[in-house]
Amino acid sequence: MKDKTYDIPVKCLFCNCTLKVDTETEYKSGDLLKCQECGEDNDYDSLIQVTKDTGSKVVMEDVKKDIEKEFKNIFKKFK
Amino acid sequence: MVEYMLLENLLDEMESSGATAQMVSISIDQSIVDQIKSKHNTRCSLDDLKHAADLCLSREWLKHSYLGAKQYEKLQLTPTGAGVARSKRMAAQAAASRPMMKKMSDYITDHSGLFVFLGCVIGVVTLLLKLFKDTP
Repeated sequence: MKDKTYDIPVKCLFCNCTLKVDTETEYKSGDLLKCQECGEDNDYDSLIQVTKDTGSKVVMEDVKKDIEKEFKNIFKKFK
Repeated sequence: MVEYMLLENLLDEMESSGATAQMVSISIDQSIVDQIKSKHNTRCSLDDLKHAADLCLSREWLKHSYLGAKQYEKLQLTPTGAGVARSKRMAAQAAASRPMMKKMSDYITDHSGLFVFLGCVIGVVTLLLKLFKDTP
């Protein structure tokens, strides 16, 4: 399996739009990030947690597809 | 709004019992209505809470804890729902701890249209008064 890079967008917890924030500011645990679309404040830690969960699901789906492909290739060789 | 109160209620129950989201669930009934009324000092009915639960389910802030559960029974927080509840709580705490000048400044910013309108009215009235005063 090749190394892959995944871009997982951080989405607003309220309106599910991709969060657009000031890229120069460094955010840390306990900060609130304001969504430009809906104006709601999002907790930094919760955003990270939800984004990690989403990222894990995306990676798992990809790994499943790769494993299925590999199994199909193995069975093709035996035929 | 009622849906945020519902999410905060679940979050409070999780934190008070030291349980994770998977271990805590609620059913929408009169006891939850009474809890929310007393905690948030608001008037809401069972129908309001059911509507709020529908909203939370559609936005995937809540989910049913098992397949086959009835619409308003055994509802659990999802990670997104917990994030929404925590964000609301932190925003409320941050708003409450602002100094007085900042509160006034934020109030003026939020209602800037009203202040501009009042300024225009005062300007027009002053102009009219001056005109009528000057004409013989």
